[in-house]
Amino acid sequence: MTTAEVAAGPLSDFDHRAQLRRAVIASTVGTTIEWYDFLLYGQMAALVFAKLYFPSSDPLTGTLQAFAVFAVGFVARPIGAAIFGHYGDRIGRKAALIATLLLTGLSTFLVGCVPTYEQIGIWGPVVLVVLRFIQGIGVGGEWGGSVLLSMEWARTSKNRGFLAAWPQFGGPAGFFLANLAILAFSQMSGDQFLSWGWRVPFWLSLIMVGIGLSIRLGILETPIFQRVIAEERSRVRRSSRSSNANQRRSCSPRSREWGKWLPSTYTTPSFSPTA
Amino acid sequence: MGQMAPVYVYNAFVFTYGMKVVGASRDFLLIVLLIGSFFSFFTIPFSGYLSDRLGRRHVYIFGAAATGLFAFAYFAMLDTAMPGLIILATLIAFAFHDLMWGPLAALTAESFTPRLRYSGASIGFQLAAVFAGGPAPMIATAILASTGSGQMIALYIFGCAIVSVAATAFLPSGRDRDFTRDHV
Repeated sequence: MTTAEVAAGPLSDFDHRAQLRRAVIASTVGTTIEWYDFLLYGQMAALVFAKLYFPSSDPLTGTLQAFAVFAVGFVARPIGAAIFGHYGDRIGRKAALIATLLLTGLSTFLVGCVPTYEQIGIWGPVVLVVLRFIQGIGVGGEWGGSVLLSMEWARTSKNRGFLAAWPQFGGPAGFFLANLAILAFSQMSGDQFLSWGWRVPFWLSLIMVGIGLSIRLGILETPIFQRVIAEERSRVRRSSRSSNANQRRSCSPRSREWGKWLPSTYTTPSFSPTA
Repeated sequence: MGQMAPVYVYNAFVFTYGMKVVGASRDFLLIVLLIGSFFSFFTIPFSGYLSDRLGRRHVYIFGAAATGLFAFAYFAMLDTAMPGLIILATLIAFAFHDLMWGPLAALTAESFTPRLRYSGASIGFQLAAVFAGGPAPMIATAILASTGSGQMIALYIFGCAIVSVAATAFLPSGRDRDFTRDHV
């Protein structure tokens, strides 16, 4: 199986620090976009979606339907977590994080392009639900990877909590930007907000994705993941190469580990219900 | 759970409660939340730092307990309808919440070995979001509709906090384990 690029050798102190900084920024920007997109949709569902996409129903049903669209995003999140968790633990953190960023950002951008019920009828709300589902899958894969990207660059256990708090910082940052965008655009006079103003905050997501992508493409796979992969490869190589008894003896405990590792990837040993 | 439920009450349900019960305007509440999240820019990295010094579980449990207890005062302060007190209540609520939110990432990730970590942490977190976070505003709305009291919603937050404190206390400490290796 291919993995993300492995650094040529151990990085120098200076390069490690630079990578660490870049990784922390990449993960914080990513979670900011993630929360911005997810919360923007939630807020807009109440403000405009009911009026523009569910007009045939009475106002209350319209709001309920818009929230149903909102709930679809929630249901999609664990699905995204399972999909990107699977690939992130096998192929690597970096590849998974680039995919989640694109998925979340592009689906959010497209939400801003969906024609209204008046223009294309029932397809309006249908496309909205589908986009929300795709967005939720991206959001579901984003958080875990961002946290690992920051944490797995930590050199010691002394600052892991501090580093992992930065992707958490993306929560209020995304919330702040989403609410700021709504506050700014809802001040527009008359029907302008309802007719096109509400779409602009969704389009702005594209700019943030561009920034996020340019940072994420430049990061290396985390050292911890690189090492785990390298160790597994050499383990496999050694056990397949073992021809003489001496080698077999030395590798047998390792292949036993390998045998235990395989089933363990499909089960979850410790799980925190508080998260 | 103790983190997810309150955050959706403080960020989403506050509009329902603030506008219908307290009589505040939507824009005012939006600005209060903007101030609150700006404040969180500082408290989140700080609580992550605290978790390195004092232990993640200790900080998290303290945050959960404080959030559970403060919920009663939060609704009492909102009920006064005084802008200053509403802002203060929001800031304190956010600060206690951030004591959970800051260390949460490291706490979750440290529960798993590298080859399971992405799946384990992601699925755990997202399931919590679906079961505790998503329904929280609806549960709060239902409680408000049937009792009409903010204190009953505080009781709900308090209950979620108890679950969190208990679950975190049972979580093995990540400190004595090697974060960087797959231990089999």
